[in-house]
Amino acid sequence: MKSIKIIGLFIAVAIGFFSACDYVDNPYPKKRVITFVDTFGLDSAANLQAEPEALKNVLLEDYTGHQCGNCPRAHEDAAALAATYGKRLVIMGVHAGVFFTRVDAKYTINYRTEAGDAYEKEWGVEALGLPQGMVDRTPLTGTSPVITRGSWPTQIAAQIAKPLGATLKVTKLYNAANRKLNLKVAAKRVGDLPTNVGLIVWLTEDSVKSLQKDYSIPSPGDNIKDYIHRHVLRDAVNDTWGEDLGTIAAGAMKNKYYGYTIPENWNAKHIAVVIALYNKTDRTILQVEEVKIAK
Amino acid sequence: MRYLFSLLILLVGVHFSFGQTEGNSLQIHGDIQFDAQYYRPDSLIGAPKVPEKILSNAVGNFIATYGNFTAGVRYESYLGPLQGIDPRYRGSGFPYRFVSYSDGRFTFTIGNFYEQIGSGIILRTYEDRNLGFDNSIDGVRLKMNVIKGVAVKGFVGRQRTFFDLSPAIVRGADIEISVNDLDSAFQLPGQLIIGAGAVSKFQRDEDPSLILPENVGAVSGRFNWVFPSLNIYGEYAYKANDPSLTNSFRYNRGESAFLTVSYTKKRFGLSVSVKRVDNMDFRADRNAVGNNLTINYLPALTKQHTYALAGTIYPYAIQPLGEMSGQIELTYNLPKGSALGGKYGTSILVNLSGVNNIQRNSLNDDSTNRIGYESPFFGVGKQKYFRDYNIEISRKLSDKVKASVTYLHLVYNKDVVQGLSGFGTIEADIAIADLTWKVNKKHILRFEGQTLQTKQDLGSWAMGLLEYSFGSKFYAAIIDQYNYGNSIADQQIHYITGNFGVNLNTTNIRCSFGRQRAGIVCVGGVCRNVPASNGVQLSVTSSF
Repeated sequence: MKSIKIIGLFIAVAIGFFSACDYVDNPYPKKRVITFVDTFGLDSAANLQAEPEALKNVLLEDYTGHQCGNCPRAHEDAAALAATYGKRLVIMGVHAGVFFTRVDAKYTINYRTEAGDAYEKEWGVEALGLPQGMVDRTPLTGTSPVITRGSWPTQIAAQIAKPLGATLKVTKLYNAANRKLNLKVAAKRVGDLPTNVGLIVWLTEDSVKSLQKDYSIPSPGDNIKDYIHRHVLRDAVNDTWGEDLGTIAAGAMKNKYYGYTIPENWNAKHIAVVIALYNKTDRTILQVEEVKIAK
Repeated sequence: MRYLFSLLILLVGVHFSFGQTEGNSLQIHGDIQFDAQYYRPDSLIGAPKVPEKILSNAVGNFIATYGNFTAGVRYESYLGPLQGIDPRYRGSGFPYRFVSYSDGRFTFTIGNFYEQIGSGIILRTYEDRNLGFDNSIDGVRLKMNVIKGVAVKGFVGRQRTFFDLSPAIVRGADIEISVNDLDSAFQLPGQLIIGAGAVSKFQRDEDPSLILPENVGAVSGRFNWVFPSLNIYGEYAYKANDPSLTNSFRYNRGESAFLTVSYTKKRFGLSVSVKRVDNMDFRADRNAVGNNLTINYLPALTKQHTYALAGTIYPYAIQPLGEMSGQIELTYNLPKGSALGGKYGTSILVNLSGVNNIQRNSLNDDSTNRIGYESPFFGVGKQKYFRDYNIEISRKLSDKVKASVTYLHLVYNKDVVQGLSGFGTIEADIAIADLTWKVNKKHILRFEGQTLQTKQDLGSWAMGLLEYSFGSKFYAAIIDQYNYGNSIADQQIHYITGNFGVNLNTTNIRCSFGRQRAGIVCVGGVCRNVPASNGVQLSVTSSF
């Protein structure tokens, strides 16, 4: 009878210990979007806020990865361009694809996002080899908007010189206690616009420290330990491809309200909202604004 | 690696220092295998140009035992891998090394090891060089005979993937009880062995769009009841939600059940097996495909044919995502001297096997739970995957002549089995005659004639083989496989190959040359594609 007890104990321990399972009932990540938005508070704050400058801004999407040894060169280029253009150049670091973003014992932070992966897949960015970028998602030549860093200055200069079709007035209310962010975006037509436009709201986190591969450092120490990852895309508040605003008539304005809970592991002081108005037909970006939430 | 080598050297040192006085002696044994092929491009058969012209695979095992200790290493070199072997093997190194201690009751292994739980439906790691397959575990394993009749084992490690290790950690435990050996109170008719095992893997969730289970477990229970003429083996396995690339990231549970009953008496043998498999693709990387990083093995319930046309054109590969299969095998030996059995007796083997899909009732829940479907346990789907009805009759015609004839009827769903589209289900009939003439004590001639008849796919084939053996020292053969039924006239090709081999004590040297057609090599239902080639192949194996 003693043997039966030993065996029973072993089976219980073994099955309990080794068959460790995580059962997932809902495979989709919980959306952090808040459905109840303080529209009254946002409208009041917007009334007190100055109108945005009617200047065409440009979005630079830097497709990157912490295991991409050549990507720090693109980060340096992006930083130099930001110094040249100031607030008129909005930079978004998109960590996407599977190869350069791998998480392992050394590269421990997963920077991939559902939206970033969707963009990478849509334009086949990773297959071209990183680093790559897109400026206003507008092709320089041909049909693909994906261009190498050497072409970024040319395309930024071309895009920033384009006439402005709409301004984006962004009003935010952020409660640091409960980490809830309320947003209002007012898209006002001030020039020519396509008949069908869309609005995407992203969140980026700046200055996240973690390991980065850098081929400029001799092997085997080709890693920068506390590399500062800039403007990291964290999420798309209103889904990957944003939402349809339809047609904005001349002189008219369309308002949108959003709510979002900032996760605990993001540094709210470094979180920015990036809002882009885009052409629904060819997905080119028409205007972009960036606002830090905790300022 | 460095430390294991040090340990090996230490063992050698121990031998020279204490070997004589302790009564232990160091024994070193192992084997080497070298395969090389010279490739010529041949556009007619689709043999590609190989820039290196010569590719080779080489493997060497060296195992040292001293007393209760065993240590070993395996060197592998793929420069580059032979065509048909996964090109990710390219390179050289020591992917397998271990040290183990065993005192009879207790065995402890560090480094690489192969392990199996039950028939393998939740865990089987093994090496098969024909498949270019090795999923050994690199970690720690403990085995113990707890009390008489009870053996337990547990392990943790990561699996081999080419010259790297799996992203997932694999853990497992197993207990096997020989009930009759436990206690006099458990004396049952026959010999009953029962067992239970559990395996789990851990892999980080890096997917931003889905919440993936990082720990995925599987459990199984089994029994084997053995009587003098009857053997009953049954096993059931359950796997928790395991979304992966192969199952389109579905969250349904997996299960597999396997039952086989064998009965033998005098000249008669009967074996009946049934199996259900549902979502049992279990890997140490949820993004792995093909034969890479499989944790488990699902036994094949279809006959593995050794004759070329039967074994390599339409062989069945197990469908781990779902299949219902069954097999009946009957053997009967007609007695010597009887009217039907002839002077020397005749053996008849009839084998019938069939595989269908499992019944699936779609849930259309891709945007919510991603379970995908429900499947009743006994639900057999209507889609045929495979049928194999074959009979083999073997008879000795005289003191010097032995013959066998085989007939097969195959139904082969090429789209499902090979993961293709547009080929549909192929029906083929195969007839084989095999004649061996022992001219005298040293000289043996063997002839094979085969034909595969079908109007589908590549059409019909014929094959002839003539082989001469000089005892066990030397053999030479010439083979012609002729695709005479191909609907494209240019593709009605003779694939002629010649080969010869020499056995020198423990060393075997084989050489073949000529055209080799594209085909599939399967071992136990696990398959790999072999591309067409034209050239010369050399193979050397040796053990010491």
